[in-house]
Amino acid sequence: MEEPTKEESTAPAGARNPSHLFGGVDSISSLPDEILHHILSFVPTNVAITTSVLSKRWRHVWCKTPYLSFTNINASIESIHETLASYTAPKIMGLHLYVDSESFEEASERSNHVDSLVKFAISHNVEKLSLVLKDYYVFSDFFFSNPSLKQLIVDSRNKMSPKCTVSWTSLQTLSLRNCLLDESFAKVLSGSPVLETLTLRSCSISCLDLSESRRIRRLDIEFTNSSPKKCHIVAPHIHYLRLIDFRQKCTLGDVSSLTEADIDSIYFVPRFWCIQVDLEDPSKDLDYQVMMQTMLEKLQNVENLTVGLSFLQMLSIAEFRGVPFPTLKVKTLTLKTTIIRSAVPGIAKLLQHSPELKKIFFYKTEDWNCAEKYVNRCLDPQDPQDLIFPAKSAFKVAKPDLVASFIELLLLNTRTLETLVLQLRSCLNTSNYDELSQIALTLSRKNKVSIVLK
Amino acid sequence: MENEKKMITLKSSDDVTFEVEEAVVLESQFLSHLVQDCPAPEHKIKEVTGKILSKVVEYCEKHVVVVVDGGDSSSSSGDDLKKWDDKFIKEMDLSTVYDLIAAANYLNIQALLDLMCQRVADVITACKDHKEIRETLGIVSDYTAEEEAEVLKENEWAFD
Repeated sequence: MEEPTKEESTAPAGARNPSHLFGGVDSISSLPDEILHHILSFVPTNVAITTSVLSKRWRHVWCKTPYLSFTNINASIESIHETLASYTAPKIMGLHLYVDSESFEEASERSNHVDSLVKFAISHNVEKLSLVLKDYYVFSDFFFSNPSLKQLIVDSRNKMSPKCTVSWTSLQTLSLRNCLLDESFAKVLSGSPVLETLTLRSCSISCLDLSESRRIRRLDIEFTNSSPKKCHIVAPHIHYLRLIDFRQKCTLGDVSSLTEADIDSIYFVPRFWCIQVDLEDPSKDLDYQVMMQTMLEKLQNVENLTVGLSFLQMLSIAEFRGVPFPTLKVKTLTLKTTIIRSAVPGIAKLLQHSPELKKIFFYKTEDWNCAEKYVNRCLDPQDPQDLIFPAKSAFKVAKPDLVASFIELLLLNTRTLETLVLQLRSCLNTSNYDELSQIALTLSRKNKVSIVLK
Repeated sequence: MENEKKMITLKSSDDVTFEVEEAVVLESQFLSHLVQDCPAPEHKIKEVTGKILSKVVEYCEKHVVVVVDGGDSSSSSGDDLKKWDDKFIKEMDLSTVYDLIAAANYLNIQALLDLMCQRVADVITACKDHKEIRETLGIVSDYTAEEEAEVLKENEWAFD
């Protein structure tokens, strides 16, 4: 097995025998073992196992593959374990399992497979577990005790509620999708003392209290339309928050260490608010006003802020409804939006209340957003200045005069700006590039701001 | 800005020279140590040919530009980079891929090593069975018929 040497593996291509196929007779077999293990880490493990039959050189190569991945295996547990008995790596770096209802008819058999492979991984001090379990599965007690685990990813529509004590003493990154979480999630948090990053996507959870998770720095949380419950978040130690859709689903408590935030909602949130304004329902309108005011207050210490189109539209409505804006400490602002009228008052207001702003990154998105006409109608009568911006959806090619007006809008509302980066991507082409560069150059000199077009 | 950039010359085993910015060299752990420990204007890398070194330089130049230029975690520049990577490997034959793996391993450029290993892994995964893997990778079996049957039998489930 030890036949390849470093010299062979790094020999120049010409030194090898030519082949009718790819220029080297079986040059892959002369790569060092560790490289072959690395290659097989990217291959589904059942395929990696089949390489044992390629030649004697390959007989045991797969046995030290540090990353294993299994998708819908239909073999018996016994035969899998017979094969795994020849696995010789002392440590599994990562195990990925994908199991849906296609594998096995009996749910209990599926569960047994998951359990046996996870146990195998735990016995090999697995560092990274990634489990996609599309079908019914109950997390057993052994799952919740794993001192080597550093990263855990679970995508499962099942309950993850430990009845036992949780001991994930090395866990740094926890990422859950679609999971049903209840009050027992507190056990997960208290059993993960070094947790740094928590990601929750479409999970059902009613309260997230991270005040005892002292090492946690990043929280990425996304509530989709189907997330059923309201959620209150307390996270005094996080520095970074990504939060999508906070509409009556999520309220923020203490987030006093926050310095970086990425906030957006989804299109129907501004649309619903506009409908409430239209219906002259003062209590619902007030709910939205309070929500926006609270959100802005929570963002007061954020220095690096990213906002999307729907949130900008919310800011536009908030401005129109007279919601008080605090002074923000934003130094770097990233706008992920298209150039559109309904976002303009929100952008202007944000800039006016960010007296320390140094940098703006503008990323032109392909956003189609059905809230536009509602927001525009709601804001009517508008500032005539805003009417130069289109009230309809995205453009394919950046019109130079429109981009110029947009840059002027940004520059008009901030005095401290040093750098403006506009990423127009495919909207920037050979026909408009020269004209836009010229405009950027002129505005750049006039306002003493460095403007970069991309 | 232009004249502040420090240039470094890399020379391949067959004496092809490449003049690159220092930032490009820093993509390689091996070269960044070499440059720090021995501040010569030219470095000979006798383990890598000119053909392969040109690919390494091309890759590192592309990847360094994005980091310096973007300076942030934009998903769009990540997408663009991925598209570039896809094109970079698509045009490459397997023997070049192996040489790049060896070079990336030697020069310690983890991202390039991963990209190249992924490419070989994709080729293996796309094969319908072990016979096709053998054919595609040019591997000649040295098993006797009995030995091969035994290995097949041991791991029968994996071949389904």
